[in-house]
Amino acid sequence: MAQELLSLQGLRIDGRRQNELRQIQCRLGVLERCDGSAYMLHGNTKVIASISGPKHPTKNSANKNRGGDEFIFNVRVKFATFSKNGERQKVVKNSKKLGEIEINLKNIFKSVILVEKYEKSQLDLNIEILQTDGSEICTVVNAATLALIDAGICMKEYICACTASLTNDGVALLDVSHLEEICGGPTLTIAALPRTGDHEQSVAYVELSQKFYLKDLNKIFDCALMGCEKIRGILDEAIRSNAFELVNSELTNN
Amino acid sequence: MANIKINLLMNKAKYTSDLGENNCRIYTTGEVITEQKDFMRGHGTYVEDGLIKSSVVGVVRQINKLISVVPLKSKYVGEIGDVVIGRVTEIQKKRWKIDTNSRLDSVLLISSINLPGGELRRRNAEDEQSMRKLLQEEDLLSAEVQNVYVDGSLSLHTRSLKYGKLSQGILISVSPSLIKRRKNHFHNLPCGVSVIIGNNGYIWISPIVNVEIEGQGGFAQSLDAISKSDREAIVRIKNCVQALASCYVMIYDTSITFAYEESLKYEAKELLNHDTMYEIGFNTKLKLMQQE
Repeated sequence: MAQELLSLQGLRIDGRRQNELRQIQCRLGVLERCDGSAYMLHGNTKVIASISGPKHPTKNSANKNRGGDEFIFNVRVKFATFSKNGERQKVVKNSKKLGEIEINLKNIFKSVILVEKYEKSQLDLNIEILQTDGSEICTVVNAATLALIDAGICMKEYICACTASLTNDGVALLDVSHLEEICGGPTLTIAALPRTGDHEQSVAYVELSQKFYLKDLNKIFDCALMGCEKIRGILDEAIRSNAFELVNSELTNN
Repeated sequence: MANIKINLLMNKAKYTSDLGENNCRIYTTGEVITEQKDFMRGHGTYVEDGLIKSSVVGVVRQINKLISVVPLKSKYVGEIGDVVIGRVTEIQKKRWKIDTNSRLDSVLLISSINLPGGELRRRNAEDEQSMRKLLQEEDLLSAEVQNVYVDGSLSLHTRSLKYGKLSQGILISVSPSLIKRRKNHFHNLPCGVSVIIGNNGYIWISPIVNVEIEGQGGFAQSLDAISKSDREAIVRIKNCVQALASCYVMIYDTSITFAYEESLKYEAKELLNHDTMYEIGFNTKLKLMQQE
């Protein structure tokens, strides 16, 4: 690609600085007919996540899980037909790519949900990606975190995800857009449990595309973790403002 | 022309408003509640490195040394004596499985219902075979929580004439946290509508029926035609409850009555409009606060 990821003035293709996030907006409890839901805009990537459960296992999933008393966690991810740029996409069910995302999400969230509280029951996480513009997995993880919190599921900590990339000159770029993804350069996706205070951040998921020099690894890693920290702040603010609204109206009478 | 309104998810209006100053401290997931060691952890908390941390987003409730966090929205957690409304999902030997909006399905044993006729007698094999005659899959019923098992599932009973199968009416489901615990959850409103407010967030709205006369142990189903005025009143109450729920007003007999009075200046169908819902919810809240 002829286009430079970082111009001489230090600006990226869409005019951001090297360590700037795209605009993030989120809402909790947008859907009514489910136990918890969230809507997340990350730049031009749009995702709706909804939770149904914890509930009695349906026969279908109980049969699959013949072990019996374990917690059943189902994740379904769907790209809307109109989500990608240009033409309508054919709906591919059970594709390899989706299956991989689903398994990854399952493992990410099983590491934070307090599983022992939900023995014998089933939790369904449904994710619909309405529009894609890079960093889909990271948006999906953030939206799912919000939906789980909206549903009142017991978790140890928020999980925030962020991406980072690298220019040819070895400068780390935070939060990769679609244009930057296809311009080449490696993409690192991280899902982490950021903890303010004395705790170290612990990482739940790492995905890396393409090769680059080992000396750059720490740089790109730190950049993504810093992004996670920033995103945590944004999620926290959204959750608190949502909670305040509910508390002020609801619990006054209790 | 049809009047169509399209609301974007992101711009979905917030139907809540600050009326009183109330400075509840909200704890979020992973936040440290206390560093002192001499507290016990309750629901909604976990211990890490000797610190008690919150595992849900909500407000802290402390009872002596027990600290628990009450989430703002969750599935129904049953307590003995609660009135619930449920739907039969499955019939097993000697028991019905009932969906009560909780984490696990509840059970209604055949030994904890009043058999038709109302008299007390032994439950024999014949009764077990005719279970489906009393309650089928997808039937709705009202019941009381008799016991809470170790795993959190509930055992129900209908050993009173006021409980039993529900026949004609409307079911609304709201968040269980919006239901106020009261002495009585069965109300006959002055507008000719009977409301059962289940603690599990299911609310049943039906025309007033006289249970005492039927004497069938609450399993008779009356399918008589209901007059138009009654049906309108039912629908109006249903829309009022929905308006209250979308404004997060606690739901109990007084608030429903206030919302009903407030709604009389509109037609029942106009109550589905979001602005009208908000107005009714807001005015009801004001009235409730004045009363306090």
